[in-house]
Order: sequence, then C-alpha cells, then structure tokens
Amino acid sequence: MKDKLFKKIITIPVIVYALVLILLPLIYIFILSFLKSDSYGGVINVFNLGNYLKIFDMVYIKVFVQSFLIALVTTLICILIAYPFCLFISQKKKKTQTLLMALVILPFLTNSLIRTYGWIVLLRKEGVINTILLNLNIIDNPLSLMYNNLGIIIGMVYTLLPFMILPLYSSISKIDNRLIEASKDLGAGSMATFFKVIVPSTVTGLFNGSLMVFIPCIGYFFIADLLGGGKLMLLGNLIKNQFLTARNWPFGAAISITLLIITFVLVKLYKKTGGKMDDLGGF
Amino acid sequence: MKKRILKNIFIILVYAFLYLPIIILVVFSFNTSKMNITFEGFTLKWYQTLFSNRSLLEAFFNTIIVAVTSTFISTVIGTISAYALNRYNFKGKGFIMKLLYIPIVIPEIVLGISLLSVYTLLKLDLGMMTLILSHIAFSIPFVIISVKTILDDLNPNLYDASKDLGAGGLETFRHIILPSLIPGITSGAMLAFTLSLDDVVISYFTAGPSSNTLPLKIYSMIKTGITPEVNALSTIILVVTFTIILLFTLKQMRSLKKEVVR
Amino acid sequence: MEKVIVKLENIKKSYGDKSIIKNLNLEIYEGEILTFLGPSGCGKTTILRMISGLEDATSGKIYLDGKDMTGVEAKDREINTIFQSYALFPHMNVYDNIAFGLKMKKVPKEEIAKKVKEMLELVKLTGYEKRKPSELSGGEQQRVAIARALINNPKVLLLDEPLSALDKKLKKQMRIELKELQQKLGITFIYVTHDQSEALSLSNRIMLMHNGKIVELTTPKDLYEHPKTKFAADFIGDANIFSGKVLNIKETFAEVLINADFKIIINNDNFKENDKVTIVIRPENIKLVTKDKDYNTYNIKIKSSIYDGAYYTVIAKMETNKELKILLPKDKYELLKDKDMLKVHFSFEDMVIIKGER
Repeated sequence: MKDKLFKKIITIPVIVYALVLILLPLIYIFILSFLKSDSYGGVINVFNLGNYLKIFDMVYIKVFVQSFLIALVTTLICILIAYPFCLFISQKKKKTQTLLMALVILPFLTNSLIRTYGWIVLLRKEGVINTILLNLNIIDNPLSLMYNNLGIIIGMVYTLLPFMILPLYSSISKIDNRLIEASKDLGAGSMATFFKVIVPSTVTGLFNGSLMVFIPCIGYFFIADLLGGGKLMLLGNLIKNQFLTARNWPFGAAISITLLIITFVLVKLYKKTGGKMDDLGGF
Repeated sequence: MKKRILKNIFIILVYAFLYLPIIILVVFSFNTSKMNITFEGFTLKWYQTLFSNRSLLEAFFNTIIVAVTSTFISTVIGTISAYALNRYNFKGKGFIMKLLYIPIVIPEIVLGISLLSVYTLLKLDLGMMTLILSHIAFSIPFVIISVKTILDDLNPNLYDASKDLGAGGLETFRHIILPSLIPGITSGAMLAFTLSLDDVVISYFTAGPSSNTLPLKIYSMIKTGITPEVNALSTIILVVTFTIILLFTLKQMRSLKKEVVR
Repeated sequence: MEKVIVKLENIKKSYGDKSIIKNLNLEIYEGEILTFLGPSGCGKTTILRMISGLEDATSGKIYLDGKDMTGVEAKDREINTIFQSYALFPHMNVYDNIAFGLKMKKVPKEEIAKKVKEMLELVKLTGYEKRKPSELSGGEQQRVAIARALINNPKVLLLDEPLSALDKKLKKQMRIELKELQQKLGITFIYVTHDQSEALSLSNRIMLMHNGKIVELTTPKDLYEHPKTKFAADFIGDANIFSGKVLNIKETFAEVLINADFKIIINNDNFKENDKVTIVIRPENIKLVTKDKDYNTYNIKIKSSIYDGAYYTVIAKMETNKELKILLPKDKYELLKDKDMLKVHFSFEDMVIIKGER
C-alpha cells in the first residue's frame, strides 16, 4: 500500500511538467495561430486561417526558402567536415579518441554568443583576418567575410558542428571492425568498402546529426543578426520580430506551428531510418 | 605514410577552426588597443572597467542564480521522473514520453515564444521567476535521458533482490538505485548547467525587461559595438567553465582509475 | 509423512489473455531440494516469483508454513531468492551486500556484524568484506548471493538458475557446494533450471514442466529410468524414441509396428490391437550382439561417431533407415571390426513403454 503511494508521488512531477510546460504552451500557440491580432499588439478571439494564408505571401515564402537554403548548406558543410574528421579520429588509439572528442565538446560548453562574438572579431572588415591578409599584401581591399550569407554560414557551421560530430562519431566508432575486414577479405577495395559498408552503417548517425544541425539552424536568429548584419531574414528572425517588434503574435504563432510540423516530419523520417529518440540531442 | 600526414593535417585544421575564435577573444582581452585588430601591448584595464560595471556584474549574478536554481530543480525532478518512467507503468505514459522529446528536437525559438505566450496568458510577470521556470522546462528532458540511460542498463533483478531482502519502494530507491545513478545524475546536472549558461534564445523571450542575464547583456553589447570589456568578460566565463569541466573530468578519471586498478 | 512447508493451491497466472500457469497444485516438503525443470517459457520462473511474492497469482492461494500468503509482500515473506546472475548491488561491498536484509529489518549494528561474520565463514569468504562485486569471480559472487539470502534465516530458499553464469567446471563444483550447504542447513531449496543434468544431480524431486503444466513430479532416478511421458523421455537425457501401434498380441507379448518393416516386441501390458505405444531406449542400454536373439535383433551400419573421452556416441542407421543413437565404452568401440555389419538388441528390461501418445 505504501508502495502505491510512493509510485503516485514520484509519477506526478513528470506528468505535471510535461503537461504544463510542454503541452500547454504548444496548444496555446496552436490556438493563437488561428486568432487575429489587433493593431495594438493584442489578440482578438476570432477564428480565421488568415495567418496561415499570409505565409504564402512572396515575402514570407522567400524567408522560408532562404532559411532552408542556409540550413541545408550548413548541414552539408557540417557533413563534409565531420565525416572525414570522425573517420580519421576513429582510426586513432582508443585513449587518443576519448581525448580528441573531449576537445571537440569543450569549446561548446561555453556560451555560444561569446563564440559568435569571437568570429566577429575575426571576420569583420577591420577584423583579424582582413588585417593579416592586407598586411601580407595578399589582398588590396578588405574581403566581405560577414554581414552576408557567408558570415551566417560560418557562424552556423561553427555553432552546430559538434551536433554533427557527436552522433556521427558514435555511429562510426560502433562499426564492427570485422565488417570492414570481411569486406576487404571478400575483395572490396577501400572505396567500395567505404560506400558499401561504412556509409550504410552510419546512416542513422548521419540523419541524427543532420537533424540536430538543420533544425536549430532555422531558429538561431542571433547568428543571423550578428554575423548577417540583419540583412538576411531567417525564420527565427521573422518569428522573433512578430513577437517582439511587430507584435503580431497570431502570425508568429502560425509560423512557429509550421516550423513545428516540418520538425515533426523530419523526426518521423529519422525514426523511419531506424533512429532512436534517446540518441537525439547529441549527448 | 603520406596519407596519415594528410589526415592529421585535416584534424588539426578542424581543431583550429573550433578554437580560433576562442583564442582570439582571450588574447585581445589583454590588448591595450581598444580596436581588437592588432595586439599592441599587455593590459588588465578591461578587467578593471569590467568589475566597476554594475549592470554587467548584476547580469553575471543573475545568470549564476538562474543556472544554479534551474539546475538544482531540474536535476531533482528529472531524476525522480526518470525513475518513475523506468519503473512504473501508468496511464498515458507513452504520450508523456513523447512530449519529453519535444523540448530537445524543436527549435529553441518555438519553445521560447510558446512559453512567453503562456506566461502572458497566465498573467505571470516576466522576470527571474519566468526565466528560471523556462530553463527548468528545457533542462528536464536532458536530465531524464541521461539518468534513464543508466536506469535502462541496470540489472532489473536488483529491484527484485532489494524487495526480496525486505526493502520497500522508497528504501530501494534510496539504497540501491540512487547510488548507482550518481554518474548519470552528475552528467545530467552538468548538461543542465551548461545549457542554462549558454542559453540565449529562450532567455531572450522569457527574461522580461527587468532581469538581465549575461548572454542577453552581451548580446546587446555586441549589437551596439565591440569593446574589449566583452572580451574580458568572455575570458572570465571561459576560464570558469573550463575549470569546472576540468575538475569534473579529473574527478571522473580518478574514480575510473580506481576501478581499473581494482 | 514429511511436513509441507509450501503449498500451492489452484494457482493460475495469466498476462492479459496469455495464460502462463494453468491450475497448478503442489506441495513442497520441509528440507527437500525440489527442482522446477523445463524449457524456457514453461512458467517455472513465474511460479518461483509467485512463491517469493515478487508477482501475484491471478487466482489461487500460496501457503507458507500453513499461513496464507495472499497480500503479503515479498519483503515480508520469510523466503529469499538467489537471482539469476546474482543481482549483487554493484556499489556496495561484500559486507554491505550481505548485511542489507538485516539493515532493512533495523537489526542492531553489532548483531549484524556478528551475523555477517558467521555467514562469511559459512560460505568461506572471510576476509572479503571490503571487496566490491566487480572484484569477485563468478563463484565468489555466487557465494555472496547465498550469504546475502541466508542471513535472513529464510524458511525456503529460492534459486533461479543460479549456476547459469558459471563455466562448466565451476558449475559442477558449485553443484556439490550447494548440495552440501543444503544438507548442513536443512533449509528447503526450490531450484529453477533448464539444465537437466543439473536437475538430476541436485534434486530430491524434480517437477518437470511444459506449457505451464506439470508433466511429471518425481525423483530424478524415476524420471530418468521410468519416464511416463514422451516429453519427459525426450527432455531428460538422450533417448531413442519410437512411436507405433500394437499390431498383434501373442500371449505375454505384443508386437508393435513402428513403420513398414520395423517391428518391436514388447511385454504385453493389457494391450489391445491398434493401441498407440511409445518405446524409449536410452543410448547406453542398446547392446551390440554377435548372434540373433529370439526377438528384437536389428542390423545396423555405423554412420558417424563422436569421441567423448570415456565414451563414443555413435549414430547408426537401421535397415529401415531409422537412426539410432548408441553410447559405447571407448575400448569396446575401438575393437569393433566391421562397422557396416553390426547387430543390436533391444531387451525387455531396457525398454521403457509409454502407453498412448503423450
């Protein structure tokens, strides 16, 4: 009997938490997305689909396309860096591997703004890179390394790279070495072994990493703000503006819900490829 | 041979990419020039001005308060919840489990604005309270997962053995399960703490005008212009985080070594 | 009559629609080693868990020493368990593991210390107090598990496949240790295993189970030598099993048709024509003969053989294409000349006859 009471007491917190701090907020913005805003930033309780129709304005479609392009390019670059990196690391001694992976995680335990700020110091017109290149007479005029798409992508890749490296490394290091040996034994060359044995066994890790890079990339408005100079509008910036500047909460909510649906579809796909939810989050 | 050198060069380049901005920050925090372009001489003056900057210090303390409080609460709730989820079946458990993954996968900005909306709906004034509540909201799932991973790996017979030897539910949790969970709980807490220190997006929406945290303060400082004060502040934060992590790792390595020696 | 210590009355257990135990009645005597033997999924562990109180029966009653245990939680039953792979608490040392049960009962510290010392002596682990389970060998872990259970002075000790995690040699040694310990303490052991040789060597009685029902409940010797079911004959030890029909009856004999040209003569035991009969012959009971006997002599050819130290296990083919497993002493086998032209004989005393098709 006492055990039943104990069970009740310890199951309540997680239920309350999940319902009040996760479900309720989502339901509320879902409802909000069908309401109307007045011109003073308030909300009128009139059901309508106008917020969703508004998304199909060219202006906003452009924002969606830009966001996805940036996210896609960022994801691809992350894969191109992370895949060989993980592969090379996994060939090192076990102890070295642990150390090297710790070194990957270390910088990311500090504030992402601080790191972004470091890039500003490096990339701006009077920044370290331009100064060095100018002084060495490699260039005559400073390069535009930030306040454009390049800056945003550098910032995004930098901030999100570990989320690609961690799942990828864990799936690459889990490959049974005997598989590789078996493949070579059966006459496959290095290339064939790579594409037929290694890549297929890392598909879930690859998908996991892509998910953890792609999705945050859409929402990191501060990177677009700081390194893009506010020139390029990403979905994150759009949502932020609707909530804080334009004060059109219903429209902001509609964009958020759209973004949520896209996220859920991607997660579903990830699970279809055999991915586990517990592996998401990178840690 | 040549191949190996190329591979190592690649690895080094990646690490250079990862560490370059951090090193630059630290170096320029000691630079006499205000311009952050070339290193002109060594000084500590930016650190001095930093410590006389009251709003910055206030933001720093706010950040620590939020991080410590939210880490403590989310670690306690997360640990209890992980145990409950691992141990018991209840109505709607599957649904609750699905909900727990939402804060991990959805874009932070969506979580941020939806929390903001609910606070407004519930007429909660934005401030430290809402900030802490939001940090708890995104930290709990991470704690749950890191604790649950260990729980799932525990020998299920341990529960039975404990019961068989006369322990009730609470006693089993206290004497048998909790001690085995310590590594999962510490790593969950570490995660919650760093996530809280790092958070910009969710704080941005839920802090309100009255309470400033460091990331928000830095954000506004960077937007208005670059000053070496920010470098100095960043350096301090870096040193603090690295020290905590180093101590934690050393402690873990020591206990690991003990295991190996045995 | 011996005293009944545990009694199971009309026990049924099902998970949802799936019935695991179908109406089981059982009396376990004080001081015996009773083994639940059966293939995995036969329900043996479920019964054990119901006796320990870790699981409730769907219906029926369990009595311990005459008291109804319905509603009594595991922690309050005077029964303890040795779990599969021991379930020692990994973060506690040997002392704390063994002391755990008494600590839960709030026994004074000095008394616990005294009792733990006794237990360590009993299982020959004195001096191991401070070690962690991870620093112990399989056999040592097993002994800690035994001490941890016995310190509570249980009326019954349940053992759930306790030897499955050990290697073969250690298994045999621990069998002896367990049996000696039981004889010394006189506590009832209920032992679960799927290993028939373990069951045969350790038990006073074996309860053979299949699909949630008792197939046979008897002594190891009886179970091996006089199985009453085809399942028992097949599950316990090696056996050549032939099923057929009574063809005709000649006074004290019955002729059983196995297939086409293959007939076996058995003792008539009130058979009628067309009765279904199963004949079991253990490999070690098949005798090689040089001349035809009056009955049941068959020509065989040896197909293959496996050397096993003292014995050869021989697979032979009968003229009717049936395969026959024969166990031959090493010297006898190696002296065989023409392995293609041998004769075997099934004598009446070596055959076990099971009526019907069970």
